[in-house]
Amino acid sequence: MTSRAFFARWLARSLRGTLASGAVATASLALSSALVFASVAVSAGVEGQLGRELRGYGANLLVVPRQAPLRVGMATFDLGVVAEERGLATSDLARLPAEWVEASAPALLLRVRVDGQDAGAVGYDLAALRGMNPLWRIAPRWPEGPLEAVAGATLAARLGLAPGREATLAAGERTARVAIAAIVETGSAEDEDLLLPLSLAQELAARPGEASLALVRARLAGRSADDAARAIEAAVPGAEVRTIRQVAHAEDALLGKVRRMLALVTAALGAATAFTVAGTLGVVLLGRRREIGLCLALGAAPGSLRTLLLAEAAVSGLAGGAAGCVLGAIASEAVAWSVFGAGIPLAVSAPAAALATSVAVALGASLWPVHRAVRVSPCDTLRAQ
Amino acid sequence: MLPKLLRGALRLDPLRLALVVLSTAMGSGIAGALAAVALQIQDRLAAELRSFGANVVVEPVQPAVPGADAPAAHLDASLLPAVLTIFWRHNLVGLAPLLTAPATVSASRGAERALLAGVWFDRKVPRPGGEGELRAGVVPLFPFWELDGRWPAPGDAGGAVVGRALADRLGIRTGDEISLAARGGAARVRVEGLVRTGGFEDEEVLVQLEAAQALLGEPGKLSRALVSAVTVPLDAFGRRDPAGMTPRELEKWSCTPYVTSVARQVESALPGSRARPVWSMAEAEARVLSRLHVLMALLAALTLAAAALAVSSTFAARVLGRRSEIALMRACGAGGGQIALLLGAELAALALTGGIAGAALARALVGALGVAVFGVPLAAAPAVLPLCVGGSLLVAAAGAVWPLRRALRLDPVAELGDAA
Repeated sequence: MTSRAFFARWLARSLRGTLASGAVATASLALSSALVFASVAVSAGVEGQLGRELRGYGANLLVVPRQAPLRVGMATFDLGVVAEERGLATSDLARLPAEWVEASAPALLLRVRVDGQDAGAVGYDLAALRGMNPLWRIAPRWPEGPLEAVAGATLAARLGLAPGREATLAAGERTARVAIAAIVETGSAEDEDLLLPLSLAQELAARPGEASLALVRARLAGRSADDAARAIEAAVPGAEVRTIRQVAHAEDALLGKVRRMLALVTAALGAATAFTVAGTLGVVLLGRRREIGLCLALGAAPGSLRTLLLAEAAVSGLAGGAAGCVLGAIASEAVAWSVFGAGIPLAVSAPAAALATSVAVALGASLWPVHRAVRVSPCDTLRAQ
Repeated sequence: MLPKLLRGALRLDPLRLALVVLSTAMGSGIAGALAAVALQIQDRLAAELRSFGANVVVEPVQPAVPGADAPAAHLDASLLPAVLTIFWRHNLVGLAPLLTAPATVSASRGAERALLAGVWFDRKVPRPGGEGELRAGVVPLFPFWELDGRWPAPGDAGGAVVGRALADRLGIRTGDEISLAARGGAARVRVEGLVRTGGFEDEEVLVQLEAAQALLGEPGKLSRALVSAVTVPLDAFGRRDPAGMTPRELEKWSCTPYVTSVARQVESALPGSRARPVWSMAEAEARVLSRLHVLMALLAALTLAAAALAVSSTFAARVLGRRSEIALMRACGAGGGQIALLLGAELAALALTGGIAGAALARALVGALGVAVFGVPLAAAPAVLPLCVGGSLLVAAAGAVWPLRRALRLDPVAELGDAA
């Protein structure tokens, strides 16, 4: 019989024994690797999920024509006649790189007279605007027809607009009659504006197929907003992309903090469980000193005995780790569903981390007790028992 | 007898005792730290989310009329400190008054009509009643604005900051002098810096509020004020219209720092104003905060469970490993109660030591976690010590009871014979 075959049989037999008696150790290994699995998986998934929630903050990039003044605050302030309005082609804005862009809303700014009074209007693709600002307070409903508009709360108060009323818009020679579908209260610049369907605004401004700017919600998830800006600039001719720093950078800072917090929690969890599991494994091994002494007395080489015991530890680490992966996958899905109401994609790092922790803890915890048990004289060990 | 036996156990097996104490300390310490962090993470993150900007906007009741020469409605700047007297004044972390109007900006490369904004850059406003100071103005309110140059010092009426896009078009650089002309007069200002925000400020000229008031001929006036308050996430109750509430509900609503109730208080502190929450911000904040809160609570619960299992299994192993000793004591005539008392005292001493060490560990961990994540140490609640110690004792007892009962039921003769 070759020594390798003997070793394998020996290992198999001793494993049958220990897997039963060491069930506690394997179970605690499974528990700790399940915890590591769950926290790694949740950390990996949380960024995408939180990114979705952060969408509520609105656009994080602004696409404007290069070197053109942005006529903001047109509603309240007359900034004078703009000699040459530069614009972006909406057909170009429809082809933003999907890899970066989560949502985009082209907008056309114009000045109109609403029932004879000056006001600022913004033409939007209203469906896109809704996707961009899912948390806006709009009452009673988003407009649906091509001749329906939304009035900002401040503007509505000033002009006495109310949902269901009709208003006549005039821009130069061109006029249109729109129905006010809703009032929107955002707390920011839009409160001063009349929001129109983009096609109607283009018609009124006599600028078909043009937009003065586009709001873009870029998918960042750890990537730089400036990289996103450059990617979009390359895709839209004549465009300059500005990072809305207040949103993009605050978002980045927040995600960074959450990422660091979860990493630390994972490390702390791993340390706590690894330590106690190591203690349990050490106790189990110490209880087998007599068996080890007997093996040594029968002439087993200390080296192969050490290899046997460590191989045993590695196998029980693998078994515990595999069980932990199953438990951990269930736990992380449960966490993800209860926190975000959605599952998280399985990260490859989670099972890898769980298995590695489990095997490393099993081996690490066994090294010292095995070393000590093999070094002791078999006579002492056998007599002491 | 009892102290003697305890001392004996300590002398015979110091290493294993140390291991038990250490693993108890690790378990209770980490679980305690996570529980403490989970409890205060929401407040901390709420403060962190304020870096997204103001969440309440205050405007005059009668909005400005465009193109009209008649003086439009304005807020009175001298009343602004009243905002700092509201019930939730300690939650206010930012305040920025603004006066905005168009002006003609002339520089070396040309002139353009642009928005002139009079602001507070970075001012210390004393809180009433000697309760310290509030760092007010746009600089602390918008920490992510990028400035090339420096902000004008408070009281420096001749300094201005120009938006990047406007500066690029007019060829304005830091150190240049530009002229501003508005309906109240004209002035030359020195450009102290160029600001890049990515938003509408890129097209504006920012000057000190007083300088803008003089230029526009509107001394002591404001067109709006931005307020940043740390709030609790909006829930269904917070979203309700206070007009339809019973007096009792209204009291509960006012005594909760919802963004809506803070806005209402700001509004009543400033006569002639209308304060509105920035809804998208309030709602996004509510979602992010509640998600993270649940996540942390779940992680803390998982840790707690894992630590409890680990610690109780350590104690179970401790009892199981001493079956022959128990059998020997039984053979010598010790009663079950005596043995339980002896072992219980030993285990309690171990759990107590471990729990105290765990509380110290938790305190250190909470501080370190705060520094690593938020840059400021988080405070460990005083309840951490009793929680760690009590938790350790409870969990140790839970782990030890069953093996101890089993060991006491065993026949000492068989047990000793087996061990011999």
